[in-house]
Amino acid sequence: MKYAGKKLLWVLLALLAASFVFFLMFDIIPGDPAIAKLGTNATPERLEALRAEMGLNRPFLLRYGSWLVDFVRGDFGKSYSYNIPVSDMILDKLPISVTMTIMSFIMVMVISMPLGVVCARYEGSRIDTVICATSQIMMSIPPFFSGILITLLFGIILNIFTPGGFVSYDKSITGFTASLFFPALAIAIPKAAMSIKLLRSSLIAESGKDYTRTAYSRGNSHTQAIFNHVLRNALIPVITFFGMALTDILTGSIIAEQVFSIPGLGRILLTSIMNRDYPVVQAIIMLMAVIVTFTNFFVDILCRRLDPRIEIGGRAR
Amino acid sequence: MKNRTFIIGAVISSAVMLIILVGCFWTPYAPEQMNPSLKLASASASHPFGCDSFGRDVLSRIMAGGRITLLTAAGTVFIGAGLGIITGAISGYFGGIIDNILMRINDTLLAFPSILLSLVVIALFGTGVLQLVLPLGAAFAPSFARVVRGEFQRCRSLGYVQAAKLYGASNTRILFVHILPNIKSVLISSMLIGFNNAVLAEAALSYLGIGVQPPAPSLGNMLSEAQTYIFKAPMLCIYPGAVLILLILGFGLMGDGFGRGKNAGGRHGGT
Repeated sequence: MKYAGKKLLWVLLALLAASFVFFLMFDIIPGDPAIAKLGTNATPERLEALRAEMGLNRPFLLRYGSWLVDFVRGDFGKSYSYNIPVSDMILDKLPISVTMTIMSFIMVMVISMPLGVVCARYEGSRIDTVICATSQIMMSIPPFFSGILITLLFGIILNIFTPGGFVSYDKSITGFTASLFFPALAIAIPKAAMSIKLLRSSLIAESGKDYTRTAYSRGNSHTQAIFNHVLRNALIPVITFFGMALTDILTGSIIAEQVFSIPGLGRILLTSIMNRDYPVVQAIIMLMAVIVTFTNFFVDILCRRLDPRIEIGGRAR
Repeated sequence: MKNRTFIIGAVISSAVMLIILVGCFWTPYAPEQMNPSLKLASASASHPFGCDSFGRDVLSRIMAGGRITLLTAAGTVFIGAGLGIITGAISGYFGGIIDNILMRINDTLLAFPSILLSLVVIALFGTGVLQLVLPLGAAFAPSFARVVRGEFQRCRSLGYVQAAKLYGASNTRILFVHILPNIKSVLISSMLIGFNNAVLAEAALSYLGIGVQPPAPSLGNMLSEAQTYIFKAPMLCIYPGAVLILLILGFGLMGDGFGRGKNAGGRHGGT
């Protein structure tokens, strides 16, 4: 628990630093939010009044402090272009991106775990070669291109789904999940391929160790040895990879949303970047940073539980 | 086995590189030249890959687009490896408190998806090649630093480093003249993997419309334009996508063949 506490402190510190850097970056860029809001032909008095109202004429640290407090309390400010609270915009879209990320993550595990074990169990056989070669190619497909290929194959040639047909979650839950299936698959495929390769090499490396030989000498079959002894140890690097994959999938959802025209978080993020709607950009990026850092935190804790030899910082000695 | 992987990778990537290198000096048509009568024309002898929605020759655009993709990727790896080598070398060789501080910062940066950093920079400074290369390079540096640090840590107690110290070589000389050349195999495979991730990242950002701006071609923005016409001309998507896959596959196999330094650059899945 001491480990978790120390690690958590470090995570919070890192997030604080990140939020400071982000705030600073958004602060030093040229451009005045008051002008952005009122237009260039607003009178100087009106601008000054709005600046005071938005709190823009306070010192930097004070502004940072109040932004941080508001952010922690869930108040992300107002969007420049829509003039509605950013938190409303985000809360509305968050379920879409989160569902897609979770679906995709489950797909990565469901696809890669059995295939990785099969590869390692039958190392060097034809089935191993076929799976390895396929995953090597799948790994090379950019996530947005896998999306295009899926649209082409399942949407246009096989006609299984309608490209661009998105069903919102407040209309029909099954329709919503179904419409996210292929986008989730598009992000999952390259990640699953990487994870097959990693699980395979990790299993093979562990199979050569002394404890595996002991397991054989005690009369375990090859399959038994893999499932009862090797898999547990081989999973540690794979879990670390899954943690990274989860964050990559989250950012990958930005791309999948664009490919399949799904109105999720990534969509708002991109439009806000183009419209220079900074409160929205700031909030979404900070939110993603929080999710990413906490995912890594939980993965570290999990790995530590599986292998108590791991030091802080995730370096096994 | 390892060598065969490397050779297959080298063959694939040199074939793609050759096409792109030729594209630096000569393309069959000017990549931005439009021809309204050839809108979405399918493949023919004069236009082997057909034409896009503006009647521009797809082959020429791929050749020219690949050049921008390669340049940004090379720039990213150059910056990432440069920064990573310096921090990794200092951190690994000197150890102690410098190492602790640098690696803490490094780990924090490593946890950040490179695409988020790029999005912030583009949101602030607008689009452009420099706005692509700088944040991507910075985002790639930590993974290089981690690999380089491990190697320097391993090398610093070796005999030849001790010998160099004894005859009075300066720290800088030991770091960059004595140790650095000895870790080149690890560095090269890290750079190959990093290069791949950079290609992926550039393509993804251009696809999203915030990387290389049209009408300048890049493999990413060609795909996003082609997607609009996916019903009418599906092949338009296939060509640039296939070139991307071959490029990444080739470099990926080469990196695998080199074998070591698997963690380098692997962190940034280029999503």
